Formats: sequence, C-alpha cells, structure tokens
Amino acid sequence: MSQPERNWVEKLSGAKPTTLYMLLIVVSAIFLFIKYQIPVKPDPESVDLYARLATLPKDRPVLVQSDWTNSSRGESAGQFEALMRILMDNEIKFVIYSAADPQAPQVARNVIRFINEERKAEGKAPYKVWENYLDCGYFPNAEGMGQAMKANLRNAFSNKKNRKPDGTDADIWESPVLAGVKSIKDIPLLVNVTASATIDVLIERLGGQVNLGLMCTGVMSPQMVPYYASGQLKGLSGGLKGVYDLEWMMNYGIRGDQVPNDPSLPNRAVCKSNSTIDVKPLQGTTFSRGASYYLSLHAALTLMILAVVAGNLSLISARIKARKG
Amino acid sequence: MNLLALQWSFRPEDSTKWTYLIVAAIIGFAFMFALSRVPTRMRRVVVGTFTFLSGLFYVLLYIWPQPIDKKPLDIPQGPVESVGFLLQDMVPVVKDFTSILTAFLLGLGVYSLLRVHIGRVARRQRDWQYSGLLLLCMATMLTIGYWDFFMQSANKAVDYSDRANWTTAQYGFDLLFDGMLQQMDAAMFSIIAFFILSAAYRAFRIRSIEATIMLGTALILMLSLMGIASYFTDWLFVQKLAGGNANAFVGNFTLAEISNWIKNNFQVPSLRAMEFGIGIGALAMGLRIWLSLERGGVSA
Repeated sequence: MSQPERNWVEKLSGAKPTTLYMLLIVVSAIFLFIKYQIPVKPDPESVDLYARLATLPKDRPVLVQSDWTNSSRGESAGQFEALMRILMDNEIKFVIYSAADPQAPQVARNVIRFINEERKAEGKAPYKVWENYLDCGYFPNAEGMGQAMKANLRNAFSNKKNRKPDGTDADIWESPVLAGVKSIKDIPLLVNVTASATIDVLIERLGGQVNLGLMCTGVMSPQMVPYYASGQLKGLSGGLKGVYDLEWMMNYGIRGDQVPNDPSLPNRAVCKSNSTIDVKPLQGTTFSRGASYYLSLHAALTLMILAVVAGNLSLISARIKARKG
Repeated sequence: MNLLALQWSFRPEDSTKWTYLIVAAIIGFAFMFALSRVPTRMRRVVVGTFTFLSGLFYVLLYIWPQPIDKKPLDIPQGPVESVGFLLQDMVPVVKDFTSILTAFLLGLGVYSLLRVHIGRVARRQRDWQYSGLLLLCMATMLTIGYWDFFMQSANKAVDYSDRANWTTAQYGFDLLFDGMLQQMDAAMFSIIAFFILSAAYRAFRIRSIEATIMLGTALILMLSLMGIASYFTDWLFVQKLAGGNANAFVGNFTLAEISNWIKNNFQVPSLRAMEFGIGIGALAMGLRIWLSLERGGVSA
C-alpha cells in the first residue's frame, strides 16, 4: 500500500534526528572559523563581577576555587582564561585550589601555563608560583573545607607547600602572596569557577565572611540569579554570554553611570552598582575563547528557535484546517 | 588524654609519620574487622552513634556562641566560652578527618573498578575486551602520571611550568591527560547539545496557553543571549524611537530590559520558592538521618 504524500509542513515537522544533528554540527562548526566582534550589552551581573575584579586591592590575594574540568570547557575555560588575564594584567596575586574534582587542579595549571606563554609572547612577565600565585591543589571535602576556612584560614590551608624560586618547597604561609592575610575576612574576593553546585556550599559556609563572585555554566546560571539578586553573590558570569561579556569589558572597559561618557571609548559598559568606577581597557589579549565561540552560539540558538518553530508548524496547520472544517 | 594535643601532621622528611601511619592503619583495620563481626542490630547502633556524634558537632558549631577573632593564646572565660573555643579548635581536625574519609571514596572507587573489570576479563564475560582496555588505560595513566610526579619531585630546581624544560614524562602525561582524557570528557559533554536540540524540536509544542507562555518566555531569553538581537532592539527602541535617550519609556522594551524584567520578577521568586521547599525538605531529611530515623541511612 502506498504512503500518502506528505506536504512540506509535514516534512518539516517530521525531520529525522540525524538530519537535525548534522545541521547542528555543520552550523556550529562553520561559524567557528569566522571571527567577528558581535556588539553586545553586558549583563548587569557580569558588569558587577568585572567591576569587582578591576578594583581589587593589589596588596591582598584573591581566592580562586577552580572546580571545572574540560567537560564544560566551552564556557568554563573561557571564564577561567578571562579571570587569569584580568588578575594578571591588574597585578593581583591569587591562591588557587579545587574542591569538586581531582582533575580540576591540573586543568587549571594547564590554562595558567598557556596564559603565561601568551604573556611572554606579548613581552609581559609571566606569573610565577610562590611570588605571584599559590597552587594549593585539591581538597576532597568542599563542606569541611568551607567550614574550616570560615573558622581559621591558616589552619584550613596548613601544611600546603609550594616551590620557591630556589627549588625548595616551603609552607605557603611564608609566601609573599599571603602576606598580611590572617583570616578569610582579609580576602577581598573569592571567585568560584564551576560547573557544579560548589557555589551553594560556599554561600552556605562562607556567605557574609567574604565577597563571593561566580563564573558558572549557562545551565547553572538561572539558578544562581537569586543569589546575585540578594547580594550573596557580588557578580556573576554565566555561560558563554558571560565569557563574551567579560572579554568585551576587558577590551572596552567600564564606567559608572555617574561618570561622563568618553567619546574615545564609546563601547564601555555602564555599571550601576558602582557609579564612580572608571576602568580603562586592558592591554594585551582580550577577545579570545568567548569571541571565537559566540557566533557559533548565535547559530546554534537560531537553529534551535527554527527547530521549535518547524516542530510546531504541523500543529498550527492542523488547527487551521480544523477551524476551516 | 586530650585528643587535640596529638600530632596530626608531619613534615615529609619526618620519619615518625610511618609509626603513626602503621598504628593508625592497624587500628583502622581492627576496628573495621570488629565492626564487620558484630550482629546487624548492634552495627546499626554503632553507625547511628557515629552519625549522631558527627552531626552533633556541626549542629553545635552552628548554634553555640563562637569566639570572634580568636588569637592562639586567648584563654576562655567560663564553660560557654570553653566549649566555643573547643569547637573552633576542632574544626580543622574534623576537616582533615572528613577530607581523609572523602579521599577514601576515591580509593574505594578504584578498588571497585578493579574488582569488577578484572573479574570480567578473568571470566571472559561478554565485552571483556572493553574491561581489558579500561584496565590498560588505567595502568598507563597511573604509570605515566607517577613517572611525571617522581621526576618533578626529584628535580626541584627545574621549572616544569615552562615547556622548554619538558622531557618524555611531561609530554606523555600532557598527551594522556590534556590530549586524550580531557578531550574525550569535552566530547561526551557536548553530546547534550544534540539531545537539547532534538527535545526542543519534538517536545516543545504550543498545545495550551501555559505552553505558549513558556515558549514565548524561552524565546525572549534565548534571544537575549544573542548579542546581535539585543543590539538590534537597543538600536530600534533607544537610538531610533527614543532619539538616543536611554531613560525614555520605550527604552523599557529592549530585549535586555525585558529579559531582566522576566528574570527579576518571575525567575528569581519562582526559584526562591523552590529553594525554600528544597531547603525544608533537606532539613527534614537531615534530621531523619542524624537521629537514625531514616533506616536506609544506617542499615549495614
């Protein structure tokens, strides 16, 4: 028995999954090869995070809890690279550790090495362990670690050693990075780069003790907005849009809404939470992974919108037919 | 004896650590052996007691008055302060205990993996070749990883963060970890994109008013992630219609403003409500486990 011939609406609504998958691969891949700076208006939460990072004091280190691995590198790697570039270009010291995945410290080390190679190529001094940053490795229990950091930061990071420039290992508390730090309250900002719920633990254990910033995946981002709205997070970079927002601000700078617009810097993002902030563009690499992927994100989202429309066409067509009788 | 007065950490070169390690291992194994020999009913009491004491520490830590900015030589005044001081001093010790316990889970995972897959290979069960490959990969990663680790430990003066100083061990580790493991990890995660697209195409139907509202909201939020769409609405409403005045009324209809309005007025309250519900549920569940009312939590 012959099948009744399908019209174009039915064909469009009944496409095979493999056709969709092929379309997604082709559309996403093609745009990876096209470099284009898409104009963007950074989200307020990204602007607040960048404002915090750009105004950090140089004499106190930032804590970076790096809990991502390459499973979410499309977003997390871009966020981590942007964070490293911002901290290094502003000469901010940092202490890095992980509490979610044993692979996370090595992934972070690889990115730091890559950024250091980039800095060398740009004629800048590379960031050195012990002098500029400390690598505290992996802590298997995020809850216990958070509680210990709140009670006594020195004890929480006790017995951790890093290599000095002379090749000997020494306690991290002897390092110039932690000079002047006695408790968690001496830390101006703790940034969590994560693809899991580790930020929940930090908010529960360290909320109110230290300013928290978050770089998370696009899937997590909507769940984190309430923490930003309540002030428990001082800033938030969510997903690929968050990465591109950061790169945009690194490239063009930000200004407070009370600061007059500088015609020579027309694309600066406007910060409403800090009315007097005036941050100039960073020197060196700014647009990187976020800019490379953002056009692909546009293509993938457009494809998804079209797929939803196509999927609904037969339903709409059937309703119209039913109405006509 | 004051347990807190024990030495909990040692320098790598301190040989005393081996005595402590061996004694701790013997006590640990003896305890586990004894625990495995007691009747199930008694075992539940032991597990319940440990669970209660562990939970009690964190409950007390939360509700008991804590010293603020305590210095190492501060002396507590009275019993309330003494308990507060004790609790705060115990935090790093308990943290170390919990870290060690959590680290044991990694060891347990490795043991379980080896037990299952060695058994499969030995018995030539179906698809035993995959088990063999898994064991081979695990052994290779361990060997190269330790080779790199011991090399870096032995040559402390060499800066291995600089690729120029790398040898076969570092290149091998980089190839296996960054070149293979991490790339496969990323490939696995990226598969989600295909499922999301397929699910959106097949399941996102405007069958009711509620579904239509959800679809419309999702569309706005998806478009707001696209800088080019936001830029266009900004240009249309602010530059064209409002003549560049960002505070004009029509400025409220840019994609960024609408998506922020949706986030702040619908998403945040809804998520807060859900979080409250989840929080109350977690509290109830926590209490049940702490007080050994949840049988599944203490059955052994």
